[in-house]
Amino acid sequence: MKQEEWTKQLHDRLADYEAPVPHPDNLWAKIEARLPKEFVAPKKKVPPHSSNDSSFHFPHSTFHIPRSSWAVAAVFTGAIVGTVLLWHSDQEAKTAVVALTETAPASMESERSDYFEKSEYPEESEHTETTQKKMRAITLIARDTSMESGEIGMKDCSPTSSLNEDRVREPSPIPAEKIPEKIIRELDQKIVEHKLLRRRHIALSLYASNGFGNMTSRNGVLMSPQMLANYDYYTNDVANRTRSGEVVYLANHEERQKYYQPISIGLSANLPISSNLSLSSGVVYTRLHSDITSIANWFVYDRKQTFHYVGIPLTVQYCVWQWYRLHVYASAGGQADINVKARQNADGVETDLEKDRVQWSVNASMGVQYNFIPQLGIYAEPGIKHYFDNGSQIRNYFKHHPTNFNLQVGLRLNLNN
Amino acid sequence: MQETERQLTEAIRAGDWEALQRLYERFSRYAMGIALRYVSERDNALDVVQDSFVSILTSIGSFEYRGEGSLKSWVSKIVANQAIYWVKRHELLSFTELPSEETASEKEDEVEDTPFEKVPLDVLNKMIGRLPARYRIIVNLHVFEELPHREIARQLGIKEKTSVSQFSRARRKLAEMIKEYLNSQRI
Repeated sequence: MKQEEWTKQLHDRLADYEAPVPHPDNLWAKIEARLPKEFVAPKKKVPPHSSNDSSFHFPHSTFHIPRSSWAVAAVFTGAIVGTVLLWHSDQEAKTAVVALTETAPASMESERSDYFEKSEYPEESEHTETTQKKMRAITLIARDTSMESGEIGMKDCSPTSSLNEDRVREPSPIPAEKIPEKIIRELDQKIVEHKLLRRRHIALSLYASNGFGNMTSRNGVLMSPQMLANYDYYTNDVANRTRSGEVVYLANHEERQKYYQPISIGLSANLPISSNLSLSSGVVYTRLHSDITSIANWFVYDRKQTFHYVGIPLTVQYCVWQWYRLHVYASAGGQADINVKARQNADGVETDLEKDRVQWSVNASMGVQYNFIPQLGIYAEPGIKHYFDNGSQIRNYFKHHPTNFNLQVGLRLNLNN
Repeated sequence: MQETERQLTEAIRAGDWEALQRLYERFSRYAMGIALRYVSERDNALDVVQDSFVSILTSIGSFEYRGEGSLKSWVSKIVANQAIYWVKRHELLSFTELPSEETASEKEDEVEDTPFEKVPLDVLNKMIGRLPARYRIIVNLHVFEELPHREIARQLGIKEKTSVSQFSRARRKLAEMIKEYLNSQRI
């Protein structure tokens, strides 16, 4: 076979070959993390006249995007937590700046603003060029974050902000080519984590949940001690059996209980506390219903009890795995349910019942979320929940079935996307 | 219907941020295929793809649209350059010139038929990625980047005849690998 023919055959065979990219979303996040902020800001169409400009310039015109107004709403709705979050973000960004300036070449700072100008990079030192690009990306991201926090009045609140700015202006003379690649990769990873954290904004969830299975029980009615006393204590068989430790039930007396699974509807907010962790809290309404039927000599007495609780959950979520739009996470936490209303309907007569004490519970679950669009996803969380005995005399599902499996399904609105 | 390269390029130039991601989604597998021909380890190939796309996205402004396929070709060149850069940094790339190479090129022009079509694409791609670095670079540049040996020699700082002889050896080595593979499949 001639060389040309061999070459052509091999070329034709593999010219359009495509290989699968493992975790393409993760790779995109890493790429995005290394892009200057003008490239990663939320999209915004430029005015029509700009699109006709054949000599467009990145990034100054087309990718200059103002902040999303969602941030303002987020801060408004969760001022305290938001403040902590932003402070954390600000500190993280400043750490990146400090880490950067400790290793950056002296020429870096002066060129930082012209990140895109390829011609400014010396061709003879590609390694230096790449390193500088990466380090600039870190600086830009860090500056970006710092600017963001400044927009909401955080920048000046930090006592170390001016110190950090000074440190940025005083780069160390360590040459970039001496920075081991491992450090570069670690920094890349930090950038990715930082970007993922920034990307993970507050999410609101609307959900419903219930337990698995109702609880039905039938109990006999114990003979009272007064009634027992009417029997001859030494000769009567009933009394003998009582003495030997047996319980004695009344004939034709019975109590049947049916405890329905709790049904909850809730609204919660998710606040990211690291790239993988988030804290969730909100408000949840739970309805608990029980049917109690007492039978005494064929006389049937029905009572329907309904308890209404308002609960405050607090859970920590850990993102386990992410693949395209699918997210798998684990969560664990606790909840306090306050009984706000307790009603009983006994044979058609409605009465108020004594309210139950605060019901504490802990839960653990695994969740799967699928985002139809970046702003909206559906999720399902099967889990296990344990209700602690609150010491009250009220009989309900929580007392009779303290540990149960439950399923929560809902919609999650991702703000800031 | 798939967005044309012209539409994609214009969307990027119009400031459509999502178009950057569409470009990545469209060409990342293609880029990975190229990277694996230069760098056989998947993690290293991913590094190459990552570096390539940072370069592609930040310099897309300098891309000149010259018809359908020109964007893909431009992407391929950037990935190839990044991959060569990676190999130069991480592997021993030595083009030792032997005296016999002066005449080797002409003698080795003809080789026995290589049944490329019998080898799955991913295996064939991987085989190229596992050639010794000096063969690998020249095969990629000559076969896929379609550079003449003179240009390859200029880029790598070697003699043109060295490029030709290394290419001939690469062909033989690849033919051996394919033969071994096909034999192993018959067992």
